[in-house]
Amino acid sequence: MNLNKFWKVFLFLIILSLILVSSPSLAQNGKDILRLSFDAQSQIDFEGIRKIQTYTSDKIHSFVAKVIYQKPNFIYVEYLDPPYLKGRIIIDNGEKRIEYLPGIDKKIKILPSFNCSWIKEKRKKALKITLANFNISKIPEEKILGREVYTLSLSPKNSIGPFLKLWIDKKTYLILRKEKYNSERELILSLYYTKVNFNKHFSKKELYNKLPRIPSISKKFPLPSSYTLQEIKARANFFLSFPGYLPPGYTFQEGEIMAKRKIVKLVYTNGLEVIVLFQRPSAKIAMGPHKWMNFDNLGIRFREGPYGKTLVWNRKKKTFVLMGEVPLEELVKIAQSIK
Amino acid sequence: MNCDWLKENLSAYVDGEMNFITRWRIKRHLKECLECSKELRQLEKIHKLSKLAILVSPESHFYDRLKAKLPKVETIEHKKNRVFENIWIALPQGGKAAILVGIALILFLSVIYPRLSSTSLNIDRFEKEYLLSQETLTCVGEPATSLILTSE
Repeated sequence: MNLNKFWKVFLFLIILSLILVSSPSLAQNGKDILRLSFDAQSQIDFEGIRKIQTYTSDKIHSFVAKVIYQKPNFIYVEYLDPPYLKGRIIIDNGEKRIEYLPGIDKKIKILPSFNCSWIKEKRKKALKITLANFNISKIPEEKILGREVYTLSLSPKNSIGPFLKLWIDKKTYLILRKEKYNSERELILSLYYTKVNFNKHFSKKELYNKLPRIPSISKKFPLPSSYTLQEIKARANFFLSFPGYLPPGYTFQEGEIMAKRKIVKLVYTNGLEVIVLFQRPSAKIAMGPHKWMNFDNLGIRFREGPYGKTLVWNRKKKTFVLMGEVPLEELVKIAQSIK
Repeated sequence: MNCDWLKENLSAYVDGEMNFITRWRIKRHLKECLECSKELRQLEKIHKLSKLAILVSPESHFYDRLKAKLPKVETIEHKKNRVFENIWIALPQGGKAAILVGIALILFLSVIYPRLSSTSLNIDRFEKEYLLSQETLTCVGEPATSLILTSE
């Protein structure tokens, strides 16, 4: 091989490796696919009909919504079903988010945008925790609504769930389907699109013109301050209790002080799920239909909703609310370990 | 100071209604003017006599006759509203005690009890916060899940 030919081959190999590295469509690693899907919805023009179903022990909750994503950072969601949610609208323009029911809600609250830097940072942190806590593997590829998709399986490195299956569009990295299973491998949530339309560009102005009048804003949602464990201990104006036990994989994420320093919220996450512990000086909490449980002289009220499980109890002149999508036994173990 | 002015104001001087400087000027004038001094002495005699006359009581029915001669003036009587006072006086001891206990109970229930008793909250508030964390602190969270909480 003469020197000229060697350089040609060398240059070809360099270019080829650069193409392989830079082209996301050729990404093979499950972690890389998950990373790319993380920001996908802010990088596409998309319209679709999304269906979310949550499964509890005695009921299936279904929610159907029309979803519009427009790059960068615009999200529009309009609920079509169930009837009691029909017509509800969510508009997130990258700076703020509003939720309202046209003609009914006279005043609305402003929430932080799903795509604001404050939330993005938190989600990035959660992605790191997910990558550390879950084995991510690719399973045979499929087609969804005629589009080629990567299929990923996320299984926890410990015995506690959830297990997650994701169907990610090969071209845009948008999650087209998601299924979540509990530790017993029972389906607890499924999300999928019944209709998709990519690259549909629409005028935001036209959309706003079509919308019913947006109600006046009653209250600006202040960005909550999140604190570390040490900071929250110093800032709370009552003695805090902490769980001595957490399910494997869960770590403290942040603390918040709410309701004029009367409620402290502690958030623990494994990247895919959160466990939230609220505590405050003794209070009566109206809960609707619930069950009573008794563990070692600890009377606990319990209920299961479409979003997870809730435990409420009182101890030592304080009221605790514990919420999470983990097995009930795990939540009870956490409750019992709180000192 | 001239004599005419003094004769007009002599009565005020005798009654002690003049200021210090005027009195001083009058005294100076009286030392020099015999006529005015005479006038003063007469006036002082009349004053003494009138004081003696006041000490004697008027004859009977004097004030009735005087009142009849005076023009009629409308008088407004300020009657005090003493309804509650009269009711309170009329109440038996038991009734008074019941009213006092009632007032104390209303004050306790409206002001003191809410501070003593624990606050009442709804679980919805906690659930919304939980969903916000679920949405923002996980890597595959969906936006706007909080609407799931909207009651059926």
